[in-house]
This record gives sequence, C-alpha cells and structure tokens, in this order.
Amino acid sequence: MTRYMLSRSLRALLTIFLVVGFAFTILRLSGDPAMMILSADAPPEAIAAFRESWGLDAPLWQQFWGYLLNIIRGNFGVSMRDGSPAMRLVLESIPATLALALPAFALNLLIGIPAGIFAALHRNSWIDRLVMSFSVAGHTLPSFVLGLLLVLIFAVSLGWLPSGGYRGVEHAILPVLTLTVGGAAVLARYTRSSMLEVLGQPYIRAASAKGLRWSQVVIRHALPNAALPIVTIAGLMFGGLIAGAVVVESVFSWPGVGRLTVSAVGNRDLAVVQAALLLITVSMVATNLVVDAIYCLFDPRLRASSGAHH
Amino acid sequence: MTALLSVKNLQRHFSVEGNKEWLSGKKILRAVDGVTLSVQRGQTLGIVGESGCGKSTMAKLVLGLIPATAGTVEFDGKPVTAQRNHAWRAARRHMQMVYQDPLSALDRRLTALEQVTEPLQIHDKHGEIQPAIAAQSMMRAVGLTDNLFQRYPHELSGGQRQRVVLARALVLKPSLLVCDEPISALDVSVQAQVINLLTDLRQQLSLTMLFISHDLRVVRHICDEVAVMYLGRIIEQGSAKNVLSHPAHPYTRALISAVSTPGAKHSTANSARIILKGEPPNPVDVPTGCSFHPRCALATAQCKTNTPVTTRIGEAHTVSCHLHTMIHHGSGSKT
Repeated sequence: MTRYMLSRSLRALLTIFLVVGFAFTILRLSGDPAMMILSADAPPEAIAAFRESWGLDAPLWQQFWGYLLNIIRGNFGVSMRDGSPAMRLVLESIPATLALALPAFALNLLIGIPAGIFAALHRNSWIDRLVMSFSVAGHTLPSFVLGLLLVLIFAVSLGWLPSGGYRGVEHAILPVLTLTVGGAAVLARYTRSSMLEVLGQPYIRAASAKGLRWSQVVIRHALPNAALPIVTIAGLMFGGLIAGAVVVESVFSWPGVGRLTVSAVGNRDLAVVQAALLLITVSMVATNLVVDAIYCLFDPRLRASSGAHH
Repeated sequence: MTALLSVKNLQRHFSVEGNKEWLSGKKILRAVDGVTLSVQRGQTLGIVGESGCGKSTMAKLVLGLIPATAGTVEFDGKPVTAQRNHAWRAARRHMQMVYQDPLSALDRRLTALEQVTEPLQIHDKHGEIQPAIAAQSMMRAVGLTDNLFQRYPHELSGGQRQRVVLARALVLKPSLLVCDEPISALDVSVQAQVINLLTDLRQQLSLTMLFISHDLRVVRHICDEVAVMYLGRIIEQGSAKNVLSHPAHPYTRALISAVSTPGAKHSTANSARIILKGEPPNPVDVPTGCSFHPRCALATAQCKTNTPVTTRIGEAHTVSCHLHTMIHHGSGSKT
C-alpha cells in the first residue's frame, strides 16, 4: 500500500511538471502578450520595453527556468493587466467555483448512483428504460445548450430565477442544476453497467444460494465490487468541477476559476493563466491520488501488490 | 431407503429471440425437457452429457435457483420452488452447490475465512458455536492449512479456491450437495485430490450428491447411479455399474468409447472407438422422433418419426431407444 501510494505520488509530481511546462511553452508560442495588452499599433519602443520588463525577450528555456525557480519560492508572478499577484486572483475565484462544484457534486452522487443501481436491479423494466432515457438525454445535451435553455425557461419566461451573476443562493440554482443534469446522467450510466456486470457474476448467484437476503446480497457483495469504476468516474468528475466549469461559469457570468481562466487566456495574461492551470492540475492530480487510495480500500488485490502481505 | 431428492417430469424452457426469425416470433429452447429422477439418501447420482445438454440448468432447477416451466422437484418430501421467500432462504442450509469456476464463485474482496463464515452468519444467527471457529474447523477438514485462512481468492491456487468453495458449501452441514462440474476448471494433478476429498467428505458427512460432469472416469469413480442426458432428456439411467459397463443407448456407448481407460477391459460389443457424427443439434430445433437419430449410426426409419419410450431393461437400468433390445443383448451376450 505504501509503495503503491509512493509511486502514484511520484507520478503525480511528474504529471504536474509536464502540464506546467507544456502550458508555459504553448502560451508563449501562440501569441505575443505585448501586442495583446498594449495593442498592435503601440510604438515599437513601448513594446520592446514591455517585453524587457516582463522578461519576454530572454530565450524560452531561460524564462522557463526562472519561472520554475519562482514557483519553488512561492512566487507565481503578477497579472500583466493590473499587477496584482496572479495566484491571489486565482485563489480569490475559488470560493465561487466551490459554491457551484460542491453542491453539484453532492447532487451528482445522490441522484446518479442510486438511479444507476435502481435501473440495474430492475433491468429491462419500464423504470430502467425511463432512467436510461433521461440519462442518455442528460449525457448528450451540451451544457451550454442546457444552460441557455434553463435561462430561457426559468429566467426569461417564468421569471422565477436570475439569469446570472453571483450574489445569493437563487443565483446558484440554475448553474448547479446545469452541472447536475450532465453529471448525474454519466454516473447513472456507469453505475448501471458496472452493477449489471457484477450482478451477472457467479459469486452473486452463490451468495443468493447461500440463503442471503437479496438486499444483503446487493449491499454486501454487489455494491462493493461494482464500486471501482464508479469511484473512477466520480473522481474525474470532482476534479473537473474543481477546475471550474468553464462553459457553465461563462453562461451564467459566475466569477469562478473557469471564467477567470477563459478571460486570462483571451487577454494573454500569462502569469494568471499559468497560475490557474497549475491550480487546476494540482487539484486534478490530487483527486486522482485520492481515487487511488480509495481503490486500495475496495480491492484487496491492490493492497497485496504493494507487498504488504508477505 | 427413501428418496431425498425426487424430480418428476421437470421442464425448463427458455424463449430465445432469433436474429432473422423475428418475423416468425420467439423460438423455444428446451434446456430441460421432461426429466424424472430420484436420488436416495446417501447416494450419489451422476449426470453426464455433452456441454449444452441441460446439465447445469438441471442443477439450478433442483436447487430452486430458477423456476421450472413444468414438473416438480421434491426435497425431503417438500416441494422446492424458486420463490425467494423466507422458507426458500431457510431451506438453503440443507442444499448447497459447488461451482465450476471457483475463482468467479468467490467474492474477491473477502478472505477465505470470511467466505466460509458467511453462511453461518446467515443461518446461525443465535448459534452457540462461534461462526469463525466452526468455519475454521471445516476449512481444516477440506485440507486448507491455517496460513491460508486470511488469504484473498487471488492469492490461492485453483485447488485451494475449490476447497474454499467446498468448505463454504459444507459448513452448514447440508444434506444435499450439487456439484456442477466441480473439477473441470482445475489442473489434472489437482482434480484427483479434489475428487478424493469429495469421496471422503461424502462418507463423513453422509452427503447426498448430485454430481454433474462430462468426465466419465470421474463419474465411474464417485457415483452410485448415472443418468445420461441428451438435449434436455435423460436417455439412459441406472446404477453406475450397469450403465457404464453395459451401456444400452448408442449415445452412451459412444461417450464411453471416447474415454481412453488404460488397462480397463472394454465390455462393449466392439471396443473400437465410436465416433459420433457431427455436433449436437441446435437445442432450439430438436430433431423429430428420437432426438439422437441424426448422429446415430444405427438409426432406422422408426427413429426419425417416433419418440422412444423409456423402457426398463434390467433391475435399476432404463433406456430410451427403439433398438435397445438389439444393442443390449448384443453386448450382454459377449461379456
């Protein structure tokens, strides 16, 4: 277990390094921040001065090396727009993102998993078909379409809820709903197929033939064995939600990490984009580490492969 | 002696939807098609036949794991149904099953000891004996050493896994044990050990067994009686000695001739190997008359149209074949 988690952690660090390096290079190759921020018809001297003051005239590898050293010192650079520290801008937008992500994730789990289990236990019944129809619809509907549809119905036509902004609970309802429909649909599908696979296994029949109550067969034998793929999907989903729902935050003008990243990319505000990407990467990688740890709980084969058993 | 298990005219049909025949509606697969048999207390009945002949369906029907289309199963004088109520669950402790593939029959998340303890926790909620202690003594009885108790299924060998499955089935001291091809997934070297273990335990626990197998050598070794199945029907049945030494049905004779038994003298009329023609027919389209006739070397016009009736040809020996008199006397006269 320890060795397993150690190797996972090392791999996680490597992943973070690669993502940071990739983002750094691509951002500098894909457009000149001086042009974007000072506008294209600024005098050449001003552009040169801007480049020099931000260190953009140095060779790429030198810029990257300096950037890495700064990260280790805890210095993530400042916004090219207003000079405020980049990481502070990102951290400030996290509460808004969490205000959407946490309720959406909880609702995904609370709706998606039970719906999937229920559908699997009543396979091919009308209730299964109903759940799966909703799931396919929720899965395939893009979030910007769903988001706009919800705005059209609940904000424009009915006038019950605000169409966007970040003030009270009522502002969060539509974005959370948008995130929940897609997420719960995906979880329901994976839960159902994972459950169906496990329910067809001989040890399930064996457990029933031992005289175990069917509800107990499901709780003791089927669910724990079906949990692994569900944990994987839920983990990916959580990482994605923490990274900020780019589309949903944009549709509902919600000042979270996702919208900050989109506007920073548009402005070529390099330090802010890099800080946001670093945070998103770290949260994704951390979620994956947690998922790996949960795997060990559910699957004794992983525990044993770490050498803890001998 | 009373029959512990008695099966009368048991049928189980599955409806299968053909890909091309959707216009003609659903087809019916007769997995088990009118089986009558009984097993006396303490006896072992072997059911043999090719794969797909309905052996495993028989096992599930006998235990009430799936409902029968028609016919009855009686266990200890009481009907066995597939209705999963309290009585059904309570009856599980008297009838248990050993599975073909031990790895998939075990929950991979539970240790060997936990697997064997579970049945006791289900049925002996207020028992005086500690479930774990009873489980451990049963595990030792099936030849599992103490150091294996805390292992997970993937850390055990095939033979050890099957011993865990066996201990799990026997820990409740059932009176009927159904073994569905219990050794076909094991290495040849381990097969003999498991078979010997089964014979020993049968004696110690006075088990009644239904032993499903396609391995005639094992059946000869372990069974008191044998029933030969072909396409959901029993075509020959009797004491193991009678059926295996004086087979009356051409199909049984072909099965026996296919087994190479070094040193054993062949008692069939001609000891040359009888090769069956073709594959077993599609069980959805069972041939008319005697269902074996397309593959039978001796088939006559009568076999193609008339279904043979079950005829008693000896004390504890029945056969369903139009030609049984010819074959049986032919082989009998030379032994």
